[in-house]
Amino acid sequence: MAGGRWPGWRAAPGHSITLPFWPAARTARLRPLGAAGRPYLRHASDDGAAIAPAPPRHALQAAPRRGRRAARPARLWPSPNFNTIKGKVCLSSPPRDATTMSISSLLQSKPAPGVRASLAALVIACVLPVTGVAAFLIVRVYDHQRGALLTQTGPGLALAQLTAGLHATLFSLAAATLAALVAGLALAWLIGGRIAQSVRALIAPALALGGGHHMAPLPPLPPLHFKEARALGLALRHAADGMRRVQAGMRESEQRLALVADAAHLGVWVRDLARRTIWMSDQWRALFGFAPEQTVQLVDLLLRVHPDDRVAVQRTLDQCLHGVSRYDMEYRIVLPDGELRWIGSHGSVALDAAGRPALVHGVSLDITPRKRAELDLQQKQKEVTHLSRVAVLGELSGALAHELNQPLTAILSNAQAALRFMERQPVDLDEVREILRDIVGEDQRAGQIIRRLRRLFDKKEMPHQHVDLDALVRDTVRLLRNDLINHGITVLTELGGDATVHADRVQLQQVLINLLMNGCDAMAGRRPGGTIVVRTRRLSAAEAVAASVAGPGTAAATAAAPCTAATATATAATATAAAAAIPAAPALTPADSVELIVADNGAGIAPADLERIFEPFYTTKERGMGLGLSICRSIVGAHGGRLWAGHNSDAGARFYLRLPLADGGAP
Amino acid sequence: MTAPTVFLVDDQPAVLKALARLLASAGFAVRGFDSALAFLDSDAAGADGCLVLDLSMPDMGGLALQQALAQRGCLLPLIFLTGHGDLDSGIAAMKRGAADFLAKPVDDARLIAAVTRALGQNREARADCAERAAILTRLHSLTPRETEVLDLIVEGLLNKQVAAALGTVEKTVKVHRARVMTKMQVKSVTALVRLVDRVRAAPAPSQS
Repeated sequence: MAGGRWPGWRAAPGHSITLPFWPAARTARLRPLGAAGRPYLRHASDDGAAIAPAPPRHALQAAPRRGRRAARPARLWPSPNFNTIKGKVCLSSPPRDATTMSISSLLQSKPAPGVRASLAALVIACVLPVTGVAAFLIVRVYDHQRGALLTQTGPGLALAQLTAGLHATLFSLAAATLAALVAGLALAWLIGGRIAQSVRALIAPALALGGGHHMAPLPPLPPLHFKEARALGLALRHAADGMRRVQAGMRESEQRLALVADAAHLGVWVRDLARRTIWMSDQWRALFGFAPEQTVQLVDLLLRVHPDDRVAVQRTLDQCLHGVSRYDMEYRIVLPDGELRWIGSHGSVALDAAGRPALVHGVSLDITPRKRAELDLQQKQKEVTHLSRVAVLGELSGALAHELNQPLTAILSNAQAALRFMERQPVDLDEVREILRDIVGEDQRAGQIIRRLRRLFDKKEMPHQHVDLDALVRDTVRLLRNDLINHGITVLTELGGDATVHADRVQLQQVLINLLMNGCDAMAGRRPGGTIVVRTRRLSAAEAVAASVAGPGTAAATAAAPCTAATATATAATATAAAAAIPAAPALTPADSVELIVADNGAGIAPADLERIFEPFYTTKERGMGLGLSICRSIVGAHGGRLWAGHNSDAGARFYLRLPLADGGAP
Repeated sequence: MTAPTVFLVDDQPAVLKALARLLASAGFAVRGFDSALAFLDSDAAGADGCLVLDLSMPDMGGLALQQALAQRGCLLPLIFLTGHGDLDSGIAAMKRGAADFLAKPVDDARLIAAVTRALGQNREARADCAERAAILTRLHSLTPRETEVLDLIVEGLLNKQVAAALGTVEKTVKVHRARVMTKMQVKSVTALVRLVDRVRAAPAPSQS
């Protein structure tokens, strides 16, 4: 049948479908899908013109060929195209609608002829038996009447003949009805079968569509016998196209992500907590030194981690199972060739429907250069800290020499006195013994001073230890005794701290020396009888918070200096988990702390300078580098404490130093 | 007059003890104080001897003590000890009449020599002081008129010129002059001039 050609959906060109029950005049010719995979419909016959007048040929897009589609893959939607909807030619700019409309136009047209025919057969099948039964009843009544008539009258004979004729007619009518009924049933069976066939034919494409192989083209559609079925086919095709587009978009976005991840050297990984599997990108594998096809378990990953960081990493990973929703950590890994690499890792936990952790997504990044720079910076800062300490000690050298001179003087004088006593006769042995004892004591004192000094000069980093702050204050004041005397300054100590802090003793002493010497400088030449008050006291957590709120200069007091000198290397893997289940970072938790105040009655600090004095290279002294306080603040910051400046109520400046207590609090 | 004593002031007990021991071993009488104020509070400032003191001490340093003692007209020679050779302080101390300036740790020979020298100085100073006190007593015994005559004679004026200057006659001047010579216990004008110069050149010590 010439009019029944259907030039293929995606079948080979020329594939045609014969529609036996479709009048040639009403055959809808479905063009192949457009360049964008968008089908459109055209009634291409004389009869069809009544329903949908064919647009001028030049107005219609030429049916695209397969080759052309292949040649223009990037172009999602062709330039304005025409579509026929309900007999009108219209410019359809949203192409998605075009397909939908062509489907709806199929559905909205008159019912299919097959349906109509079956309806007619049904009507006939219903009407004819009724008329037959009616006729039969009439005949029975007439028969009865005729029997009565035959027995009664002569003219009844003619009537009986008439009735016999009627009989024959009625019987033939009943036979015809029966035949029509049979024919109607046959027709209904045939049409129903065709409907079922068409629907069955669409099962395979529908399965293909749902089966996940969206990127493969839909299998060619078999012959379809009804508009509705064809519309369904179109809809399937449309859905397939839509899915392909979405998939293409997804793939594109995935590619983009992969490009970004590659460019940023981000290793991406997903850990399935239920199945205990880890998927990781090639970049991640390269980062951790795994071969692309190698199976990697959590254990393999942990074996790569530097032994010193392994426990911390393990702990952070375990926390994912117990309510931590995201984490950031930095740790070292050792590659098989021995190369050390710093990894920054960020993970985020996805929950399943029951609210249990199901997946952990994450990215890992090589932060070795940054870390190296950080460590470099820390090294430099350590050197600067040390240099500043040495410079301070240089300033103090006179006083320190004097301090060392005291025991030396005592030793020499004692020894010479002993010699003189020995020359006398008789020798006062008790006296000499006492002298020698004194010499030993003084020598030990000198040794202590030298050890203290050497510690201050030492560049080596001291491990943090429990430091009695009050004892440190006494020690420091003693060390500075001569300098203070030379400046004519009295130091009053009110030590009620009775507190132990976890600190680098030398660095803390450096801070104290700096504060005391600043006090000296502030009062130099101004008031010979200057007084520095050093006060320590313990603060409970609540007091600390209250004092923080009320205290002066708290706004920018937190030591935000870049230096994290001592702590950084000590705790290599700083895994801070920020989740509801885990308490906030320790620095933010108000804890018991100890406050040290160094107050002088010197010139004081201009309000504008209260914060600036902590900036590097800012100094109010004539001869000063402007590094002392800035270094002090970074030291205190590295100890988890704060250092800020304020005013006394009467005159002079006041420095506040607050440090968290060591675990265990009191010494 | 008690035996000369070496007074020690040092805020470091160990040093104080050691120095005291050393000086005692050299045969000196020693008395130690652990601060300048303790020394001032005692009666030691008026005693014979010398003072060995640390330059830098809390509350009151060596230089401040020196000043306070000078105000009191103390005759004790001062030997400064200092831990670090602070040149400025040393010069200041010596300018104010310190007997010596020694660096810690101090050698016993130098310290003992300095102390011996200082004690000698103190002895001389005491003798000088006593002599000047005697001269002053004599000077004070003069009447105002005799003092006027004395001043003019010391300037080298002749009796005639003195008489002219005072508006009196030469004979009266002669009588005054004879009384001055007698009261001042001198026989020649030259001796008189020397006496007066001794008293007037140096500031008179206070009447302690």
